[in-house]
Amino acid sequence: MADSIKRLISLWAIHAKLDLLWLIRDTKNCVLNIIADLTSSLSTILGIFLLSQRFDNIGGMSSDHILFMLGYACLVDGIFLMFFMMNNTGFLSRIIGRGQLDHKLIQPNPLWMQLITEGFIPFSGSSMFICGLGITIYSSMRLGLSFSIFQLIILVLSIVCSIIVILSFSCIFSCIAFYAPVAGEEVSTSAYGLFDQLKGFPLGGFTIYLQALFTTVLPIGMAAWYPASLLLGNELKLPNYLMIVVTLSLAIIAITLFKKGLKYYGEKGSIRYSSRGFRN
Amino acid sequence: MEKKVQSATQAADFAIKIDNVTKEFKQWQRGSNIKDIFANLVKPKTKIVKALDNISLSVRKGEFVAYAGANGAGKSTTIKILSGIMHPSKGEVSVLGLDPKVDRIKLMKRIGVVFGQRTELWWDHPIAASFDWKRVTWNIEKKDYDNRLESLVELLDLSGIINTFARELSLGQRMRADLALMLLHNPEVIFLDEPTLGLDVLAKRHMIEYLKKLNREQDATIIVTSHDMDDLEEMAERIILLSNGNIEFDGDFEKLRRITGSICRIKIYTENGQHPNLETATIVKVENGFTEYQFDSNKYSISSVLKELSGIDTILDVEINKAPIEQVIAELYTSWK
Repeated sequence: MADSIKRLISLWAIHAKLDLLWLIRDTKNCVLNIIADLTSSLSTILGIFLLSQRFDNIGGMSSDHILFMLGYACLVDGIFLMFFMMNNTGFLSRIIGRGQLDHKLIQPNPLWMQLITEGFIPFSGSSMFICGLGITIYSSMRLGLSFSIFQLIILVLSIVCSIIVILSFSCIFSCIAFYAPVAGEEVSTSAYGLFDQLKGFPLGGFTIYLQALFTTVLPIGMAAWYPASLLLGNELKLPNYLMIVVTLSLAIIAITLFKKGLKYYGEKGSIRYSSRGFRN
Repeated sequence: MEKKVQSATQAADFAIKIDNVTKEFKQWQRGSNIKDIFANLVKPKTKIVKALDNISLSVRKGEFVAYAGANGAGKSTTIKILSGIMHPSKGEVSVLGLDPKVDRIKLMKRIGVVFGQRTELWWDHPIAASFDWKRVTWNIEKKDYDNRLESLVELLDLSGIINTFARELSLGQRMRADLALMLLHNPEVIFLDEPTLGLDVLAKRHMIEYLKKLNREQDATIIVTSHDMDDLEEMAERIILLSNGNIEFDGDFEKLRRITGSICRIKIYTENGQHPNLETATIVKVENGFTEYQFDSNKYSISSVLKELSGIDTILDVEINKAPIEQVIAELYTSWK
């Protein structure tokens, strides 16, 4: 266990170093990256403020509640971006469909460890996280929330659960690429796109059936609305333990399907190979 | 007791052991007419293809083995099975005493794999950064890493490109960098799948020299696949030829030539560019005043061919060669069809 944690940290550290080297590889590139990131962050923040005004009192949430929820969504997105968006675990179907798992299988580390560490980009991919942190703090101040250590732990755990839900959902669909590499290559993009486009909508106004649908089968509500509502102490029609149940269920389904797919990959191998997106 | 010790010693001498390995694939079959398409939706037709058909072989530590065969013969499948990427349908595989399917992580610390058309280098980084990534990922001791890097930079002539971005390297330079990356953890067994594919003559020559040096000086066991038989003959001492998933030949290159008959080639250069017909040999090529003949030395002795040639007054020069190994193999492939 201690060895695994040590390995994880050293792998994250080397990928962080590679990311920093990439960001500062030349002045022009570095400046352009920072400007592009600032522009993107600014538009995200403005978009969120406009949305919070537009959605005032929709689904039983005030504009400040909405702002908090969108801040939470940005935090989840930001962490997801830093850890899983550089053509790695967040886009698992690309790795599988393009035959790039072969590269992972010739490394002397457990596959899960490689998948969660490779492509860690804390420097070039941190803008969304910083935005999310800023919006969450700002909205908390507006709401007069003061988080105790315990509540902060709950917030962190909720974010972890939201990320597991998104990853698991994407992984479940990505497993299609084991059996149909070409057709399934981009399925993770579509699965992630569902969260990206819909996670910011408050679901409080829906019936319990629709809320259940959007927090279990299509769990977009687990990316922001449900955990943010719980953290804000809003009354929910759904049970308080639902997030843990959904997170665990999706994670178990994803791991089971991935293992099954990996076994198939071991039997069949990859019928195609494309280097597109590999390590760049 | 003595027998047990003897068998353990023998096992320790082997880098690779493949026992009765079969690898089967299911291939979808479908015609192009409408009836077939709809019939396929209800009951898909499949065909079982044997990429490897009950093959057994062993490779001793320190051997340099060429693994060859026509397209689809099962070469890459074997390399993937040996490196734990794929699993056999039947049979047992052992690399350095480990089962690649079960002990993948342990095995990867002791073997190295290079697929010629793929790179392990980080594309948007100088190759030094990829080397550093390798050190951490393979958990190589810093002191060992520094010593090894120093000798590899010298061995593979990397000093001029170590700080160059991988995307800016030529194919030959990239292959050298990939080879160094693979060698950084000092693998005992090396699998090279088409390492010379796409390289120009000079880069190919360098690559062959590096591999020979590696095998000679560091006693590394090397299994190399290639379509280029002349390259393989230059590199390896032993050749294993696969055809339709079966081992058709396992031995040295001389033995391989003997099997296909002693085909020899003779080249003559005449004053007026004539290419006379001979009874003892047949013309295979006419080019720039040279005429190349082929003859089977089991049928006609070299002296009888030379005697016939001596009757041609306009000959300026004569050159006798063995048939290129490419031709020997091509004849074998044709005979196996």
